Amino acid sequence: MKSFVVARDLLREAASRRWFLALGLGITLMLVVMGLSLRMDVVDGALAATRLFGKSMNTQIRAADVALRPAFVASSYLIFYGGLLFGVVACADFGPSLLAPGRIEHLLSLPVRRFELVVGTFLGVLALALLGALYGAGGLVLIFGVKTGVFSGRLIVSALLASVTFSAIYGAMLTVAIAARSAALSAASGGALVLLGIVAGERERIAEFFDSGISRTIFRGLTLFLPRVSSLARSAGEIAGSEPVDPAALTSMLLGLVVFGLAALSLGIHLFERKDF
Amino acid sequence: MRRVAWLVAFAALLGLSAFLMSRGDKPKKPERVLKAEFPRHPRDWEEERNRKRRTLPPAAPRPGEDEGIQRKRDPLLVALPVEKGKSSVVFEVAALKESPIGQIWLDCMLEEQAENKRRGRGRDDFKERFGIDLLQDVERIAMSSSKVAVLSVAQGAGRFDKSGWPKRTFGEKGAIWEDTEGRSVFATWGDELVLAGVDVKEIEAAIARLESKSPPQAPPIPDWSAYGDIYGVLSPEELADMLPEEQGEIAARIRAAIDRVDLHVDTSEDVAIVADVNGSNMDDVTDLAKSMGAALSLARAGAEDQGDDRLRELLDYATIKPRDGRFTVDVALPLEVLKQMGPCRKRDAAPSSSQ
Repeated sequence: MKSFVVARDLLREAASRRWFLALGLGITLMLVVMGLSLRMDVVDGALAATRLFGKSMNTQIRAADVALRPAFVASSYLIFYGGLLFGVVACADFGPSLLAPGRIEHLLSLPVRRFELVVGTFLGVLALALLGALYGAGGLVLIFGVKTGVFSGRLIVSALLASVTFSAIYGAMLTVAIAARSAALSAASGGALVLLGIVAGERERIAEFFDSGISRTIFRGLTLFLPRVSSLARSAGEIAGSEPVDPAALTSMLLGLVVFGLAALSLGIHLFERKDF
Repeated sequence: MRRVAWLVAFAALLGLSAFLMSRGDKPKKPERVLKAEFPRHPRDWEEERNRKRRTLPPAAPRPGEDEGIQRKRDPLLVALPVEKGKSSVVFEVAALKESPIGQIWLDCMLEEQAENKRRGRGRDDFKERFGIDLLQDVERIAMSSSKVAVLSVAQGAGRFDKSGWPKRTFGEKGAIWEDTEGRSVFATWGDELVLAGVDVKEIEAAIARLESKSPPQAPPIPDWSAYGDIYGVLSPEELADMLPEEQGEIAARIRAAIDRVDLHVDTSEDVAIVADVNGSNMDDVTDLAKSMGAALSLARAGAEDQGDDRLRELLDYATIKPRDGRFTVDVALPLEVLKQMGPCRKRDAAPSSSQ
């Protein structure tokens, strides 16, 4: 319960930061501009014409939900990778600021257990990621829905997938921040994890480029523990684009990602518990 | 112990996460990407092929036309009925036979052949009687809604002497065999064209067109439109008649606004169909394009509601592209869907019907 209080404090802190104000304003501005400049002519469910800033963009007539698929897929990838990169940079400072001299002593003097502080920070960032993704994706769904009558929740599901992926990566970032008390190192670890995760998502295909034997085994071993970022981004795109996904594989990967976040968090708590402030 | 507990949890959870994530690692079987090349203009090899097919000497020029611009003509296209309001479609049999869908359907047809042979209407029986192997000897088949078919065949393949039907000559190079009961007429023109129909007058008119020296009427399928594996022209009236009753409004607008519909089909991968719809009134044609787009969208929504995934998937790939007072209807038919249609449908349907 006390973790939620810590998470709420983190959200308050985020609200006062320029990064997040800029993100909120940026998303709002994009949605408003799209809402005002996009004109879609829909006849009985068929998208007959699209104009952006008065310029004709689409001359084909086809079912509106089919015509919107590429837009949803592009939005999904933008939300996924854009959200990951923004989150890695903007959230890197939360861990070190928690441990800042003066603040940590104050926090530890409160009736809050150490692991609750770490879990609260993690939950706060998770909530932040969810709010950002849902605001962006929900806004887009609303705009397209009002203009075409196609209200598809698939983009929101896809955005949720991006949030879960970021929160797992943030678990590792928080652990690095606890170990090194450095926002730069925390951001670097997040960035590295995203890049390695892109590789890990393609590990089966990349492994074929290694000679069978020790080098392939080492590659497989190293990538076995990494979150499959690119696989999840692809699945998010497929969900947004109404393409078929393998539900068993996606569920397994998603559970693995959540457990990876919890594992990173456990290591962070272990390090935090051992720290002497 | 409590301090070590988090470390143990870390190790255990990391192992569990690796296990769970690796279960989703199996490389996804790549989705077959739709490969449909929409035929929008003749390719170089088609133009070269068409040039070789123009073996009929030029007709006399129309009044005011310069004789120098007259060129040879494709006899198969010239033989087609020129009556207005009729549709004509040419099937490039050789290309269709080699196409992926052609191969699949051919397999099904050959399976059926044994059954047909027992009934005395198999391919071998047809060859025995009329001398034409429908799969080997025919290069092109042109069908007209005037109930005339024109076949471009291998030299000397059309021999109807064994049919037992009375033969008479017509024109310089024509020979006509008429069923004694008057139900069918076959004719040959030279050694490269076979004509078939039910009305002997239509067949005679076709031969007359081939041998006429007077200025010709424009053929239903112009030379420039002879591209794709199937091509032709659909009359607005017949197209409108094909629509179901509930699409009566669109049918009426097709009759009123459309002059002609040029059809081109490519079967080299998945089947891609392009229908160029032309009309004289730009506004009417644009309105019709929107109405047809809406009808396709509603049909797709209906298929989705009824759980008809096959129809929904087909309609997913249907688009309408309006431009300059005309519009194009593009439809892609995935091989996977077509496999269950055509001659293969009977084979696939057989087990379920027996159940």
